[in-house]
Amino acid sequence: MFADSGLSDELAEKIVAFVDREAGRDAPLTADDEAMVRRLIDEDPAVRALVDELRATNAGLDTLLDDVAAVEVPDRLVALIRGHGTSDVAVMTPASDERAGAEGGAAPGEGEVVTLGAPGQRRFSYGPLAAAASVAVLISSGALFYIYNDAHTERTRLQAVLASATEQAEIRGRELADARAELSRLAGIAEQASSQRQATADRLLANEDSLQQLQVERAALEGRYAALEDEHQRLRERLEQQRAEIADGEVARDQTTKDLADARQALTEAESQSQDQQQALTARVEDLTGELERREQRIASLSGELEAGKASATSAQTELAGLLDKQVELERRLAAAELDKQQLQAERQQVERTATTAEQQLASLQAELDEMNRRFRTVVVGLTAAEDGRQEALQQLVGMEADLAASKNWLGQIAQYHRVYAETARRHLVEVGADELDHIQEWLSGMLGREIVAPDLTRFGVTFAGARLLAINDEPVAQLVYLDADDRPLALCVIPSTGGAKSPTPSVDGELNLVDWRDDRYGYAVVGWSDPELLSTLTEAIQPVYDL
Amino acid sequence: MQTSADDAPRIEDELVGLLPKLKAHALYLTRSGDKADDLLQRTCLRALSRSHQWQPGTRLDRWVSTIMNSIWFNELRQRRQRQEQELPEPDMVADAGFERQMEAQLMVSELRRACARLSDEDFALVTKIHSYGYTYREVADELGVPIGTVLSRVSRAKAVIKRAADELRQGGGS
Repeated sequence: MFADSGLSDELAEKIVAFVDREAGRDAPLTADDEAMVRRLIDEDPAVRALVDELRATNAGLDTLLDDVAAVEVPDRLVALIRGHGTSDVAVMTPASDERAGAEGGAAPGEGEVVTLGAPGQRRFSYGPLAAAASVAVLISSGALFYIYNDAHTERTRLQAVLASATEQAEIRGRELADARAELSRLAGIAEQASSQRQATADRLLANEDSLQQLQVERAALEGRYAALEDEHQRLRERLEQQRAEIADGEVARDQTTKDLADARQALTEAESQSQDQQQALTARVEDLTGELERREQRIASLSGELEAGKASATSAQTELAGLLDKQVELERRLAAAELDKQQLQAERQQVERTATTAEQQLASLQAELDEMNRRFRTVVVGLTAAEDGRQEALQQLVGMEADLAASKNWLGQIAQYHRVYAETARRHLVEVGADELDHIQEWLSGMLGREIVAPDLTRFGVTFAGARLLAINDEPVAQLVYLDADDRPLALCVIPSTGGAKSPTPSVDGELNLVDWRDDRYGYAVVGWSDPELLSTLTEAIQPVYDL
Repeated sequence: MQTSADDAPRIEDELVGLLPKLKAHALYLTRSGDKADDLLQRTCLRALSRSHQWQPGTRLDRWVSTIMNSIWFNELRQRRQRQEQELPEPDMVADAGFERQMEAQLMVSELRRACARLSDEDFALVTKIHSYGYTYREVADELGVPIGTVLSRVSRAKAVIKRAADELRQGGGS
């Protein structure tokens, strides 16, 4: 109510009652409440201000309707009231207020003026008719007197006048009768209107009664409204309480959401770390692969040198053999020359002139022989040097193999072994041949600490050739060697591994194709020059056999 | 002018004396000069036609104001029924005649202009107590409600008056 004052409605009502009681009214207020308001007036400026305000308001309300002397009151209304109850005053001027005519029906039959028609409507009066009749009688009386005084000359004319006057009087009499009938009819209408007004007044009274009844009902409804407002207030308080509970629940939920977000953050970080490690491993694998390639190139280069050395040695031997043949020829020719010399010495006497030439020829041939001997010695020295180079290259090859064995990439090492043993040592492809299958399986199973079987892959055109045991990083590697349809070696390798499970993954190592996979304790690889599709097919056939 | 036979003051004379107060009452209800005159005339005619119901010695102004309220509320109710509240209440909008009379006579203070903003029901209630000398008990009995309810409604009406008066003061009384 007095929202500006900051006071509750309950207290404001008590203050209103207090101020009204000051003015001697009977506003309801208990003695306790009155004492409380009295105390608050001293203590609370807001209460004091409201009390002052209400006092001023009451003073104004007390004179609200009284202090208005200049209010215009219509004169005709004053006249109407003053004329009420008298019989001789008719003040109403219906032309000015038609409603007054209608409302006048509220009090019919009490002497109030009733207007029966609007101005301008034909109004009938018998006063003028009566006057006209009187005039007619007077005129006729005067005419008779004149006849007596002035002989009979005028008698006929006057009789005519009399007849005319009589006729006029009769006409007037009929008009008078008509007027009376009209008057009577109008009186009937007036009576009818009066009774209608009475009926209207009764209806209005009934309306007022029903209004009173409705006011009572309305008061009852207001009582219920007050009760409902209380109920509404209680419900609002309960609603507030529930909202508070919901707010608590939301706080708890937010905390949980935050924990979840933290956990997700931690998970993301862990994933990121794991990725980093994987990238480092990948980089390491790439480094090792690069290193391996460099070493392969070195091996290839050394192999080339070895071949060149071999070729050089062969060429030198061939040349040496040629030189030896030439020497034999020269010695044979020398012997022939000696024979010729003896013949010539016998014939010396005869051919003294040519003897000198023969001696010169001999000296020349001797020089050529010396030259040949010198070149032979040189070739022998070169052959020795080439043999030394070959020995050195072989030693380097062995060193490379040792390096390979030390490498961490067992897959790469397997590929390397495959290359070395299957290609460069074709004749020693396997340590134990396929005809000793049972022995192979028993042998390798013992070395690896698990059952090693050689799967039958003949349905893929792949035949078992035998087995070999390798060692990589001090771990035994069982290598089961097969030959594909094109007679190219391919191998299934099994090695203990703790790297964790891994699905079959194809890869390429130089010209070699590989597929490797792991379970919890062992790593497996299929390696060879065969098509990658064949290796994958073989893997699908092999994997179930080795499933732990 | 005639004097009545029993020599008591005629109701007509007393009624004429009350006309300014009743006109002011009608102005607040109708918010229109013409309608106020009309209401005043109908009230007077009905009072005169029922003058036998009035008990001499009691307050005539109280009796006549009840008749006026009754006529007015009846008319409002019928009008609302006819219009089914499709249109705004026409009497809540003051016409020119009302403004003229207000400025000239009634609404010289913010308080009086604020009272023009009361609902007709609240106006009737406030004037019963402050203009026609009803006690709270009498009002409660007439309306058939607890006396505390009368206090609540009076308080609410006075709060409306205060708020309206404050607005008029802040609005510069234009």
